[in-house]
Amino acid sequence: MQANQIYRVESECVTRYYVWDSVVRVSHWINVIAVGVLIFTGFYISTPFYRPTADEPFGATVMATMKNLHFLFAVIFTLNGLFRAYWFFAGNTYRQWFRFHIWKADFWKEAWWKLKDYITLRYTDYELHTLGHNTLATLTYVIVFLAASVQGLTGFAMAGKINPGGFFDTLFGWVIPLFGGEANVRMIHKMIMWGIIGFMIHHISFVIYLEVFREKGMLSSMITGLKTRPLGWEPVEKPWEKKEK
Amino acid sequence: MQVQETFYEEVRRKGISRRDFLRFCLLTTAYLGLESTMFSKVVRALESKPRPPIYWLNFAACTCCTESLIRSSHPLISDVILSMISLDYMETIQVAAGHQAEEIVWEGMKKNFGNYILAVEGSVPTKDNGVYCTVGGMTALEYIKKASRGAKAIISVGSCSSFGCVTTAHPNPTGCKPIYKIITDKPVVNIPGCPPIAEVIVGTIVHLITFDTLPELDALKRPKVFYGQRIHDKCYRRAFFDAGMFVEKFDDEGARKGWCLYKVGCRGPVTYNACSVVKWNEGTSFPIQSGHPCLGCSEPDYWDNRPLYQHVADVPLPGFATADEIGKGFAIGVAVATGAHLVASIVKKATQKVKEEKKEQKEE
Repeated sequence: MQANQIYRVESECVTRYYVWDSVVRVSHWINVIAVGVLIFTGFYISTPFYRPTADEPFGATVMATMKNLHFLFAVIFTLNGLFRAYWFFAGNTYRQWFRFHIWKADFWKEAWWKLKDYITLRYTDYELHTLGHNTLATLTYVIVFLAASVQGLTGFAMAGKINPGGFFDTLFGWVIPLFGGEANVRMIHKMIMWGIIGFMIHHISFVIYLEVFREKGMLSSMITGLKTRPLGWEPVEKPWEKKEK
Repeated sequence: MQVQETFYEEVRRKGISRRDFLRFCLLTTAYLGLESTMFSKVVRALESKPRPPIYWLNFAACTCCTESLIRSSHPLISDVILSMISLDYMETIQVAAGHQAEEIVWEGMKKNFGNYILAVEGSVPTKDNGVYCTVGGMTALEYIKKASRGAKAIISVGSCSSFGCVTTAHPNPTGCKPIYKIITDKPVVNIPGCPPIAEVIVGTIVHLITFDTLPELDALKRPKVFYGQRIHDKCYRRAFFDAGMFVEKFDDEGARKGWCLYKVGCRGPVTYNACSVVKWNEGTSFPIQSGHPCLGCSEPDYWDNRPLYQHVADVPLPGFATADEIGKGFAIGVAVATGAHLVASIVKKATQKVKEEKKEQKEE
């Protein structure tokens, strides 16, 4: 499949575009599983709410299992994230690097225009590339990606201290003095987790809304890769400029 | 001029046998975390090198570090170390007082310029030119600056002089600062703890005189040997942590059985110290062993992270809310805003449809 080609299927009443390639879809669902497990086990590690009915500590390994799972899925999440970061530059025509030109005025004009567009409940379809992401969405995902990176840094720094001088400690040990002690590192880890939960609430409710009420195929596109637009829809170039005229 | 005695000559004069001396050397080698082949090096150093003088300065602190040091009850450690390090000045235990004592310090420092070690207990007030702590007519600020000029190294003993403890706690009315923020041109070793373990203080000093170099330090200038690992990772109650068996209240069944103190705010998982390895008072016990959660006294800003019986992540940010409350607030805020937006969108679309239908009906 060539990278910069647009694939379009027209049915009786809608046009479908092939937007999310298999790499994006698979990595997305790996993220869903990993983040789910990480949040659940993280909550348990922070406040252990379940206690095994044992009198002696042997045999029961609830906390140890939770910590191991947390670490395992953190590694999966990180490797997946690194590959996804590569795909940011190397994906198909909807790859986000293609539009992530924060040094250009158009990037910010589009983001600002799109924000107003959302707040005034219009959900306008415009340029073809927004089948992937408009620049506001790209910006959001980059921020989420950075937040996840901080989670990785702080998390691996804490995990690495089990074996001082080991692999993870050598790579990430510098994070702990940076924040002035491991206690603060934990607090930051916790706060960013809440930030990611906030993002997830918004993300999930919006894709469901756009799938069900706007028929844009936002939710199903993560399974099929296809996004939907009305039949005979024509892309509009730079709508924020036309408005000013 | 009298030639300075070596450590070995001193202990022999005091009637300690060579066997005991070697045993001490072996113990010290082990405490320093060195391999056994270094044993002979330790012996040779203590046999041949003159005892470097140490001046122990007390500034804004509670003297608990001194208490810790002089109560170290290993017979060899307490007797021998005090003579070993040639403690030339220590206000709490010296006989001399007043002008006599001050004369000893400044004369001694002049004589041993460039060779002595400063052990500093307590932080230094800096506000209003440091008038809040004066020793012998000088402010602590002037004192430490003058005394550090000829020092080979400075050992910050205790949290006050390492990171700032009670004295630098918010709102810090006297402007206290830890030593490493005041003296920047001399090597500083931090030995945090409120107080630090006696064997840790001694171990660091012995390393300094044995090898003439600082022990390997981490990013916060603490000796890696003693502060390289979390209390949690060497805690004897770790099995209960891994099993998920926690003390819920201080007087419950779990507390009686000695389960993990994580849920009553034990800060062992975020505190770097040797408590669970070296322990206190001849290796008798340490806070967690006696059923008390770790307060994290050897971590930076420990006194500001109150209340102490909670994890720092659950401690309210100054005049604000806890990390969890802020996070929940954010998540709920996002949920409400998203919900409102979506409801508005659905309503708008529905009303548009109704309007269009009406229009169509009219046209018909």
